[in-house]
Amino acid sequence: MERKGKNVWWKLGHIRSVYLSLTLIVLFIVAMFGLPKPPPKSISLYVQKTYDLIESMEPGSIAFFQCSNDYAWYVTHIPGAIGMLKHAIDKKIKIIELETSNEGTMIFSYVILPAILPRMEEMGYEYGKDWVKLGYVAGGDAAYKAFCDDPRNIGTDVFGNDIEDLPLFDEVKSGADIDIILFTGYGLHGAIRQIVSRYDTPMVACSHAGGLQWFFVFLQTGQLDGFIHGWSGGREYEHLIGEPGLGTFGSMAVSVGFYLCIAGIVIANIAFVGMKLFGEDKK
Amino acid sequence: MGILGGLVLIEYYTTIPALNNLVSKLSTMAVILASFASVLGLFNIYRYHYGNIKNKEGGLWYLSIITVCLLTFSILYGLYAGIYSDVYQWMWFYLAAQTYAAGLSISGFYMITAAYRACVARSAEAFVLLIATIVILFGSAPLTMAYLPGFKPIDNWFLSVPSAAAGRGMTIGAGIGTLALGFRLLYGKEKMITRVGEEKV
Repeated sequence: MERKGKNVWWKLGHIRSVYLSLTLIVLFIVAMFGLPKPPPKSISLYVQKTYDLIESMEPGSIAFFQCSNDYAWYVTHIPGAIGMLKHAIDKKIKIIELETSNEGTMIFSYVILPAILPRMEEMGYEYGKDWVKLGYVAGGDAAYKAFCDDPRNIGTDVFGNDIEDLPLFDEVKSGADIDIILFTGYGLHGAIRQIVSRYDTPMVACSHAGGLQWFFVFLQTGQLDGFIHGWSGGREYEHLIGEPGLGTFGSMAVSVGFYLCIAGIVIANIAFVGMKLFGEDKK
Repeated sequence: MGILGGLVLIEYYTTIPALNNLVSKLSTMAVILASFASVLGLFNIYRYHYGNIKNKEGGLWYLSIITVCLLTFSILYGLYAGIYSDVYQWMWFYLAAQTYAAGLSISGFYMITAAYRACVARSAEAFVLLIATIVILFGSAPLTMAYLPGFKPIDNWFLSVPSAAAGRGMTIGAGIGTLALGFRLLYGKEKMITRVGEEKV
């Protein structure tokens, strides 16, 4: 592309991609390690609702946790998911984990569980009695239905223990015994169809901010009671439970990415208007 | 298949105990079938890549060798040492998760350059899109909510009214489409998915 003889407006509208990318890298690093991480001054409505719902649960309530993330996006969901689970553990809520996505079960095993296990130990959680990891069950809706009709349909947990031998399932005989669903990822339709709609179970979820419009549909119908949106929501939730973590640490870098996008759009439009008014060639 | 599908559909909207018990058993059977389908999927992956390697198709057959080796190793090692073993976790953290994360991170650079190149107000419609984009981007940044909490209602309005309306339309459209497809399947009119009649004799 011939840049010679072009005016400043043209050059402003034709910044090379490599410079934009380099700016993003530098700003990311500065934001991650150099900028202060101020606490949020207000909490979003649905993040607050998520917190209030978990807070209102009685100790000993049963939560059904599902991680339906994929490897690409899981980092954006993790702050919210870990925040929800830590809060649930503080409230002594019993947790049953079941996945209908094979990627979700790996993310739960390797990322979420190591983050919440110390808190479980601190709170005296006992495997089989206070929490159970059922792992991946194939079949999507059919898996939810089979579990909700009778958890024994699943057979064993992920460690090979017979479900009938786990004391937690003395309290959980069907989907009606689940008090709350904690969900992270995208594919919440199965849980809504098979658990929320059948048993009127309250449900809260966290996903990345880009998926907000899909979740709003269910928030407005009342099928979803609360929602944590990506890093931003995760950071707010960490603030609510008083434990700054990954969401707080990464939030500045995410902000920088968004602001650079806005800066790019503004510069491109100034250049566009400039070229319209003054032309492309040097004057 | 049509009869069984119909029974499952009726059970969802009714509370007939006999039907509930029957569909409950069907659901358990479906879970077992789905588990077998996963194994079948694995065999299909092997068959596909074996075909690639055998015929040296597409110039990417060596990628099939890598896939088969990784898959075989992860299955055998996973069965031998369990998914919590160091090597298995290393494969997940440093191969699978990093590859996906790198793919997504690269799209961040594309988004920045695409926003710069494409979001120009060349028409009235483009101007509206531009404003919505800036509002959503600005509102989604955690720093905005730290310093400008008053901006939240504007961001929320965009998400809960125009954006959710479009999302709702798409969800309803997809739902009606799925229902129509389901009914066609139940009546035996839809043969594309099941590929009935396509088998060469």
